[in-house]
Amino acid sequence: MSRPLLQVENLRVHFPVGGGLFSRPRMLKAVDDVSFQLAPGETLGVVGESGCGKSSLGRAVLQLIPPTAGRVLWLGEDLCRLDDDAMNVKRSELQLVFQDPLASLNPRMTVGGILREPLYSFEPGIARSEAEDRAAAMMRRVGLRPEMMNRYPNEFSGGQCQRISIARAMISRPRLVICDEPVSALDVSIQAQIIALLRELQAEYEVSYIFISHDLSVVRHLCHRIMVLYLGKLMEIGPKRDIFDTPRHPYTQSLLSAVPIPDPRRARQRDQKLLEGDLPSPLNPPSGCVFRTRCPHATPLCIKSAPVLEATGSEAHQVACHYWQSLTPETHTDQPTGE
Amino acid sequence: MGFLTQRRDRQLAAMQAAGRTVGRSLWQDALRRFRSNKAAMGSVFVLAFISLMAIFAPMLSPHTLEDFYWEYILVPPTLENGHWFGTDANGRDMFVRTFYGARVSLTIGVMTTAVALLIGVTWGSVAGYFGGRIDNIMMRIVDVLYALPLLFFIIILVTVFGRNIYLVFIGIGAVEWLTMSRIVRGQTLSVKQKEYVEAARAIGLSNLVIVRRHVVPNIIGPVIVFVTLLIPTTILVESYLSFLGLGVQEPMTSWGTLISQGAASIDTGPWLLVIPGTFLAITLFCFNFIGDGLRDALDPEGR
Ligand SMILES: Nc1ncnc2c1ncn2[C@@H]1O[C@H](COP(=O)(O)OP(=O)(O)O)[C@@H](O)[C@H]1O
Ligand code: SF4
Ligand SMILES: [Mg+2]
Repeated sequence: MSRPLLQVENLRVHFPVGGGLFSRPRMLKAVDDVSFQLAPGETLGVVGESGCGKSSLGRAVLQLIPPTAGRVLWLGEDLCRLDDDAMNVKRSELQLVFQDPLASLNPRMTVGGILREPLYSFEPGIARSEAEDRAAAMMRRVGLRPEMMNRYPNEFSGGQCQRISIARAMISRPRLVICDEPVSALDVSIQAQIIALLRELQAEYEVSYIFISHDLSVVRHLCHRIMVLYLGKLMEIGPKRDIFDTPRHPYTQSLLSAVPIPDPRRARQRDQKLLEGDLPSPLNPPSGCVFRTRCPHATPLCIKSAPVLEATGSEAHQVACHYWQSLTPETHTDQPTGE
Repeated sequence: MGFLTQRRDRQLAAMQAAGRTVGRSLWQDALRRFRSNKAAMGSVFVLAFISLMAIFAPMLSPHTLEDFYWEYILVPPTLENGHWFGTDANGRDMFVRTFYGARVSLTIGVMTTAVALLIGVTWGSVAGYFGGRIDNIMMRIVDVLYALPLLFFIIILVTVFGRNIYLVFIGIGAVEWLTMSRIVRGQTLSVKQKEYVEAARAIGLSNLVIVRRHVVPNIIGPVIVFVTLLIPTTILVESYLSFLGLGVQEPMTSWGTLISQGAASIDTGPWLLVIPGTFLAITLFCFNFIGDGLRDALDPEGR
């Protein structure tokens, strides 16, 4: 691995919630003590159920919400300590793509206007003709006809809107794009097209992705490494093959068993470990290991003390569970890891 | 029908051949829906007619506001002597007075609404966009001002500064922007959640640019509807103030002043009440029809 592009250290995002005139607000720990690194050209998948803090993590990395604590090192420089102007200069290198295709685009602007806006912002004084040419080239690159430049977002399908969003993110040639569930709102057939597009763009521009999803089967095709979050905490992180073949954390194991298997015979043979119970309130997380209320292997130790992240066999594969060694890892060899 | 679609197809083909594709914005969609609303379109024409008359009738008429015709005191409307709307108890031509009153009433309606619009949109969008403590303080101020009764406020202004038409502008505008700012704030809060606002922050735009380019254009629909309902409200408030003797001063006149004078002479000259009253009522109806039409046209659910 070359020098990391991004190093996130002990990142915390806490939201004050409630709190009236006389009561102090309670702290909702959306992201709690999360650390990871990202190499140039790498894709890191971030998975976890809805409400686990995936979006908050992405927004805090981009400084769109202020992190409560921790450091976000971009090529060694801490983004949290930059003032607004300095951060805005950096933003051409860090972009994002959202889940809701239509809400991502201002309905009152033409597609051309939407694509030119980043250029005018990052390259003040750029000639209009050059901005138009580059917007047209970018439209062609994401598979849209440049003649549609003067149209408004409401005239496009969800998949096309997502292509426009991707074009807007890519037009400033960023080095990191955070994709926050970019295909979750799309039909399955269109999901594959968008993922293929993201892959092509990665090969072409050597961009890194943080790919957020609540669905492991989506990240499988795109990611080099995978990180599993639960209630704002890092449960397991490792290379894709390790996560799919030898998942160590009970939460990862149950997420994997929820991934549909096309072959019904093999699906029946598989040990079903679907999650029981609901996600506890993030305002009032369980003591000790946050996963213990839904973990089939929980013991009194899990109530008392929180497990720390430790390396498994390989240094790259880390897990936060007291009993990872004694839990026989499922052999999920029937899961094609995809390439 | 077939001819029309054929023509449209040919136009489209011609434009595509020219290498351009036209987009249909939400505005254009809304305009198309508004055009198909007969009551609203009819109201637009009626209002345009009244406005044109307000501008040109006093200029073109041989009579002025201050001509007293002693030989024509309280003459009912007729086509014979040149006083089409009759004359009042002082022998003044009611045609000129009615449209002069229209000038004043419509101007007050539009100007005070413009004042309310400017302050209300700025105040509400800033409060909504920044949220938190700024929002809290700004909206508390609005709450406090809300508690102040309009009439009381204007009586104070008039007693302190004397009777003056500009005070009426300021007084009404100063009260009406409060509702506007609440509407705008609520809209801003919901637009702020939209991902395109976050995307705008991610490309490093300043807050001012984001509010101007991404927030205001997306909250303007309900604001336009409110404006069309605010104009008749202010016209009515002005009439009410004039009726109480707090409005414009002679020889200037407004529909409110005319109605108040007409009400005093309802036995001797009913047309003095009926004519300005009818114009006021028609104008209020027209604005309401237009407001309804705009609301239906701009409502995204209505598509
Ligand atoms: N601005 C905010 N204020 C308060 N709570 C928030 C805010 N944003 C997110 N949260 C809470 O933080 C938690 C994590 O949210 P989020 O990061 O959106 O999760 P995910 O993207 O994994 O679904 C949720 O419980 C959510 O309700
Ligand atoms: S620490 Fe305990 S509760 Fe947490 S995942 Fe491991 S076994 Fe389950
Ligand atoms: Mg999310």
